[in-house]
Amino acid sequence: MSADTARRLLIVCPGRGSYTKDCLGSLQGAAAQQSPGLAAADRLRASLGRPGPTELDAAPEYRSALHVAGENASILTAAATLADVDALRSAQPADQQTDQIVAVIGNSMGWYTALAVAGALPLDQALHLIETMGQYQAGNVIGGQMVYPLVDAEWRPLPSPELAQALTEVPDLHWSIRLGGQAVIGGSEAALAELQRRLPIRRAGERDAPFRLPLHSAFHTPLMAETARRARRDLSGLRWRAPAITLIDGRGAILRPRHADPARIRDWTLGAQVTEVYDFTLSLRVALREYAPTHVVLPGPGGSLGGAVAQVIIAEGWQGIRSREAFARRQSEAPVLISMSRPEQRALLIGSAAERPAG
Amino acid sequence: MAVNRAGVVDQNFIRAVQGMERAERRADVDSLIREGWAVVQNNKGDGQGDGGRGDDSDWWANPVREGWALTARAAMELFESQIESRHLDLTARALKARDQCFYTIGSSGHEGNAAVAAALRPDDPAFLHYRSGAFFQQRAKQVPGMTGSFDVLLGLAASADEPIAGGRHKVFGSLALNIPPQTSTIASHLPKALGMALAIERGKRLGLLPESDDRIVVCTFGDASLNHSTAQGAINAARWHAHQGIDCPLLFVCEDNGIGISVPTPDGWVAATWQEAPGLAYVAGDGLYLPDVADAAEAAARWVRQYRRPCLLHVRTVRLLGHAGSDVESTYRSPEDIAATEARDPLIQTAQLLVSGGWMSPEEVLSLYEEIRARITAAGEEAIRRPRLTDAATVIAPLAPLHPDRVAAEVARPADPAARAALHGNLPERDGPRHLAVQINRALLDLLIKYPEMILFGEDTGKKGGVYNVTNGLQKKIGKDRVFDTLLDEQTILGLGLGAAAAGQLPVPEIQYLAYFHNACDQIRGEACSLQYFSQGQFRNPMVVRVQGFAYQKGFGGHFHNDNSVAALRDIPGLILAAPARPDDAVKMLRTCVAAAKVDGAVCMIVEPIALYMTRDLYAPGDEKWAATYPAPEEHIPVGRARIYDAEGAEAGAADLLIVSWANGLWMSLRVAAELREKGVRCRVMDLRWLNPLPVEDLLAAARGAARVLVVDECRRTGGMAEAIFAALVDGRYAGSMARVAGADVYIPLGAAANLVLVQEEDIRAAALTLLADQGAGEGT
Repeated sequence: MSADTARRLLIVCPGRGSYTKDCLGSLQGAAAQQSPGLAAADRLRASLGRPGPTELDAAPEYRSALHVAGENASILTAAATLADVDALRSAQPADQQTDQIVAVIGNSMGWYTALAVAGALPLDQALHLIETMGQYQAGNVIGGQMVYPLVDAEWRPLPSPELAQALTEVPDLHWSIRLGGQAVIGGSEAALAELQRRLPIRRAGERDAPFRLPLHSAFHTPLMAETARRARRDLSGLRWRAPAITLIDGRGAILRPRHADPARIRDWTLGAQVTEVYDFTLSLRVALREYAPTHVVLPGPGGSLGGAVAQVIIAEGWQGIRSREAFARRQSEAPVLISMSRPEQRALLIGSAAERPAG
Repeated sequence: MAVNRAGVVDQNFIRAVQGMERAERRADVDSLIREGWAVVQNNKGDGQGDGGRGDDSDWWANPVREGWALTARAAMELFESQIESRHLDLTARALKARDQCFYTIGSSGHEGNAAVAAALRPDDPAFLHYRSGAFFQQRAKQVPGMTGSFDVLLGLAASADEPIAGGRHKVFGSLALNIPPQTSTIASHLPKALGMALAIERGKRLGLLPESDDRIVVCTFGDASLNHSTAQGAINAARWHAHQGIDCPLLFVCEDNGIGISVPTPDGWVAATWQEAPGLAYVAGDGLYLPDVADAAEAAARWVRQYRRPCLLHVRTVRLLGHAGSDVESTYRSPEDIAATEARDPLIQTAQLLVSGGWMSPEEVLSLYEEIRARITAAGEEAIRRPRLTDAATVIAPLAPLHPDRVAAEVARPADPAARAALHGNLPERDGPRHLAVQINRALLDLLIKYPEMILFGEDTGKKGGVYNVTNGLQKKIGKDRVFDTLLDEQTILGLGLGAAAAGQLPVPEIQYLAYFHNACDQIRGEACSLQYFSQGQFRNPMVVRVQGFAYQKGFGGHFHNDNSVAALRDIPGLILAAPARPDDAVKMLRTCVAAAKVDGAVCMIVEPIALYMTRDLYAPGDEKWAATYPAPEEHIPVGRARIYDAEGAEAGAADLLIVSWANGLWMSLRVAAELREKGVRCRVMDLRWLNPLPVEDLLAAARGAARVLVVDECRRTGGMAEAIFAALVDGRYAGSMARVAGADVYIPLGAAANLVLVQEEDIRAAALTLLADQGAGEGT
């Protein structure tokens, strides 16, 4: 493939809530089982006496208490993501590359996975970070997160004055994630209850909003300050370095290979990243504008992030896509958003749909 | 066919790097890269360690070359900004060839200015010239979420999505990066940079800014435009202030490429003229060699920040790719000269620095160069798909927004009554009728009380109180930080206003005579009035410029003190131009202008008729009919509203004649109208009051009730107001008879001869009678 037709891929690492019922069994195929990322995650969990992602994924049925609990969901999502990224890389050895990963971003916990994908932390250490942050959640959920749409059914902007007002008035209520057309709001139980009372019901896909994310803390808000302090203490031994692939963080900062300052990546990851809003929308916008990918790739259980990504694409008018209808049309003709959990889209990327069992 | 220099420069770089000798790899660098890539390229993350590095051995923090302060990490980052800037230039030319780009003035050869950006903070206001590509890319890296390359591409493509000018021009500008938009400027941005530097310090003294505010202002320009009077004036003014010990934290950056389009700058000229100038520090750096320019920029910026004094940073650069895409250098430079300049490409020198130091291999340099090329090329394709401006209304919308309701509310917002009582003594609205100069003085005092951020300044404005005493006593009452004298330089006076506005103050500069405005006109025409337009309202420079103008000074003064030319003001897009005649109107119009500046960021100019400053009588000596009482503080006159003078007790309805005028012409017209009425003529007089925007609705409404319209234009026949008034009447399908009297197209002479070329009462009377003799005139509608 010539340079003109080489695909420029943007990898988007999904956050913790992404591994859902449909994902069960997805790590059992041959491709995933060859993944160094998944193997490392299994090794790490075994060394800690905990079930590894492969084992969790092989459970006969999906159980919230097992799969949604933060101490499992984090490593499971990360391992599934890494398995797909490894599959992508294996399909294209470095010396025969036709596609290029131009940048990596993450959503929320997906940032930690992104650190591993881009090489800002050695793989084992990135997994250690993910595991540590996940274990902090075991029996220790602090506040919660609530989702509310800021777009209509056609994904056109639909501002919420009630939400804006609540954010200025209700104590302990904060933006948690700017997630395309969705607001993820974090806060204390009381604050979220008050928010629930104030927000008119809106449809968000198949369900009514606002709704709570189960077993999620008030990530990316000041309520997590103690967690950040703990992480800085527990994770002081990590060997941070400039990434080998461009990373764009949750405030839209571009971290370049070679000269990104490792100390700054560390300070943000274990500091403001934990306690301040994660602006996924901005990180994606920066990636689309500055790195002009031809395709946005959602590895692992990232399909659930597709809506948010699409909403940012539409808001940007990226590649001329300016409406939900235009996006759907493009996806049916020549997808620009590739969810690796969808066999037909995965095949576009690595040409071997059969390797992965359908969800 | 001309050689494609962009292609030559591009290939020169590639060949030069390919020819570089591979230096011995620094073990630490090698291990870092090996380790980093192991995870992602070879799927062999061992996670076992750090390649021998401990936390405290960050090798990238070492100097890029022994003996220099610039670290390898910083050099790497700067190199990327340099390459990005270069590829933006190359992409501009490639897109131009496809008719998708509309601007090709580039930054090639100036990429050392990335180091200037690195030496500054992103909150340091930066007024940049058009070769600031690498500076812009570097500053964009200092603020998360910025998209420096894409924004430039959108500008090149004139896309409506471009975040600052929205496709109205290719500018370097960004609100988040504290870069007011600037385009093909020839040093016209230097006066406002100076104004802002002074305003930051004034703001601290006035308590408008925190004492800890240690921002400095930077402005960049070339060696050719350094010769421009605007640059010379701004640097002179900075030194004038520094000489007196007045803080002025301003970094002038002269990027000296040795040539202005085709005219070479004499060897050594910049250094010879400035390196020993009193009141100005001078630091030189080699913009072709990153460690040197970084050192120089760091030293200069640190010095300005610490000592709050101006400094000129003289950066040696080269100009590659000609002045612009359309410039064929070979018509004025020899091929050898062009090739020699290209061989000094700063990008080659940075590559050499990094390769010879063992920080990068030649292959890595080329890989990086091509990676950035691919990225910017791809982003360019996305940028040209973005929407462009498609209708005139959208283009014009941000020019000069005006919200009359908000302006009215702002005028009505009361000032502190205690402060008014204290500073006025007896409240002016309780006083009897007074003349124009006194009432303007009181209005200014009221506005200074109401707006703690308002400043009033000009030549002789402060201590003397103005040449006509209009600002008399204000400095004493308000203080020297807010009412002050300036040096004699109108470009600087207006630049102080622009800069103060940029710093959040509300400037009311005074230009002593209308004729002196003309030598500084570009500060309003090219800069002040274009700012909201080129920034979609993100930046604004509200101000009210007071100008003493018009003629009729009984033979005194000659041309410069009697200038009656408004043509150069009327066509400035967005400028609000007021010309009050009466004391009460002047007060209310001043309030309107200041409120419009406050709420809408308006740029206003009030031409005050000198000849009416002290006038008290209208029809007869001692009648006091031109004096007026001070209007209640909440009253104002909306922009674009005229005033009708009818005979006392006259009934509404058809009139024989409408005389349209303003200022001195109004005063004369009212006298003539009184005579005509005595002869039974139903005569009305209209005071336009606003010369821009013209009160067209009021004009047409009044004209439709009159069979004839006589325009009394005290300005020049050519380019005066009558032309516009007639055009408005014709556009409005006015069907009555029209005539005008106007000043001659000449400079006003001294002595009684002035009256020979200015409109006189007898001219008005004669023209009115002639017009009235036209029996064919029917109703105006």
